[in-house]
Amino acid sequence: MKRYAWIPLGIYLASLPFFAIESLRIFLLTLMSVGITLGIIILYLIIQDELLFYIYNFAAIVSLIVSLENFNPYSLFTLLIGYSLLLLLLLHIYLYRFTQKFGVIRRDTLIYVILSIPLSYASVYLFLSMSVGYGFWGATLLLSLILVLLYFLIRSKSEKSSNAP
Amino acid sequence: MRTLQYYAFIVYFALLIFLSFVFISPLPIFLSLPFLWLMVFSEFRVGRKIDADREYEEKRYMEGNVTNFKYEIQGKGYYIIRDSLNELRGYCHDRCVINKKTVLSQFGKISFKYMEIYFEDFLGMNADYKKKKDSGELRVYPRVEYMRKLRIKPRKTRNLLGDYPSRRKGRGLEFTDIREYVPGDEMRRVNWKASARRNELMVNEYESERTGDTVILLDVRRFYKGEEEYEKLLNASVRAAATIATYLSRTRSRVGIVLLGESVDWIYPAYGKRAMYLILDRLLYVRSRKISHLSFDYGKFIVSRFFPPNSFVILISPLLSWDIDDAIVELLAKNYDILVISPTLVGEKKDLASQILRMEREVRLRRLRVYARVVDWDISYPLTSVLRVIR
Repeated sequence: MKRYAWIPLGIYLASLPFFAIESLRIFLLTLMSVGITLGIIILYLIIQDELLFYIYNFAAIVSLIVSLENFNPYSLFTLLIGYSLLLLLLLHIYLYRFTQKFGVIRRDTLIYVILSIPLSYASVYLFLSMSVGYGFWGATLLLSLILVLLYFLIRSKSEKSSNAP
Repeated sequence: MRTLQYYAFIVYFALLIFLSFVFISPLPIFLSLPFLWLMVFSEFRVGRKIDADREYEEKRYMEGNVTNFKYEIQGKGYYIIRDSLNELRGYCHDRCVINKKTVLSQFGKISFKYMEIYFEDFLGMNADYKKKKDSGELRVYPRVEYMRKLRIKPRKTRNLLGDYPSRRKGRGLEFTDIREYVPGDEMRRVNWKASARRNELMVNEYESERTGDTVILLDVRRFYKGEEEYEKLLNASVRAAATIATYLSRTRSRVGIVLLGESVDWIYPAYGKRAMYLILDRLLYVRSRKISHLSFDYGKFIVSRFFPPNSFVILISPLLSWDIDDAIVELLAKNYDILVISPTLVGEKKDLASQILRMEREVRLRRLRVYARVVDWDISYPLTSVLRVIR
């Protein structure tokens, strides 16, 4: 199972240069960022440090941003490509991490990972078509929403509340 | 407790927002949203109380036996349960029972002191960790080879009746001689055929079977850093000691042990199963972690000080220390009968140090063969097959 976790990442990295084929500069930049990602992957396979796992995955996300640089970011088609590729990367992260650490991965974990993509797509769609984020008040609303959300997510949990009978 | 994945996703989110300013494009912000959604999902399904219990049959186990452990796990999410022997990984939905079969591959005493319980939620964002105090122990005895009859026997015996044929004549099973009848001899011992031939009453004489004191002198001192070689030699030596102790406890002889490892220890000779279990229990703790600086003279001193002269000393040693041959000569001079069983890894390594070590051992073996019975035992063969050919 752990072996299969590399397949989504392989497809992801292999398909990135195809989206950057229109511009030589972006194509070379994409190749460079994919190369860096592969380098960190090799380092990770040698050192086996979890931190490097997240570093190479972030490098892969940066490669995606670089390869889609020529595309119109507000186009829903660009988002479709971006999210499809990001789904492959998320599948790699979850498949690899869970099968390596726990030996199994549950179906509901994968379902929630896949569900995050259409929800993000819908969120952006709302932002683009309903103009929630435009203008001063729109941007303020969006920023405060993100800040409130981050506050709730980052807040520390005490041992008592997590282990309460 | 948050996991590293959670913090990594937070950093991803922050860095993607930063990248949107660098690239002057909203695309990185859009790509950061799935991570935010995953973090939101993980907030809805927070795990409850986590716990784990373990059950197993507490009895004496032998190396290579299979034990069944029953784990009862309470909690929701992915788990790792770790105790002194087992490690379980998987997913548990509230409450689950896991049966795990474990092969007890190494002898020793396993004490269950702590159990570590680690749970992660279904998206790997929140974790719970608990180190629980654990109790119980598992005794895994070294593997014992079955020996029906061992040819090695002490040259000197004690006065008590036992299983070893002695030089004395008396009641026994082994026929030795015929002599003339003297008043007082039992009628059932009269050899009627010989009496008819000689025209006078002749009686059979038998070897009296007596008991003997046997001391197993087990030398498991660690001289070099190689973990694998030491483990192999140690396992072979301990199994040999256990096999001989088990066999001797069946023959009505007294058996004791002197151990030379990190320190010196001994068990005074005793009879029967009690002696066997005393020795087997002691053998559970012989594994040394440090290089030993103990001289063989300690072993010699313990044998000559606490064990009766005329005892049969079975020395199990890889013969790697230089002081061993002089000590054996001294024991022989003090009237002990000695059998040396020397486990070895023949031709295991080809480097210079191993070759020198092997040559030194060869010289030592040659010297010892002059005055004691010596068995050079290649541990890839069973001990019984080697002992079968000795007289």
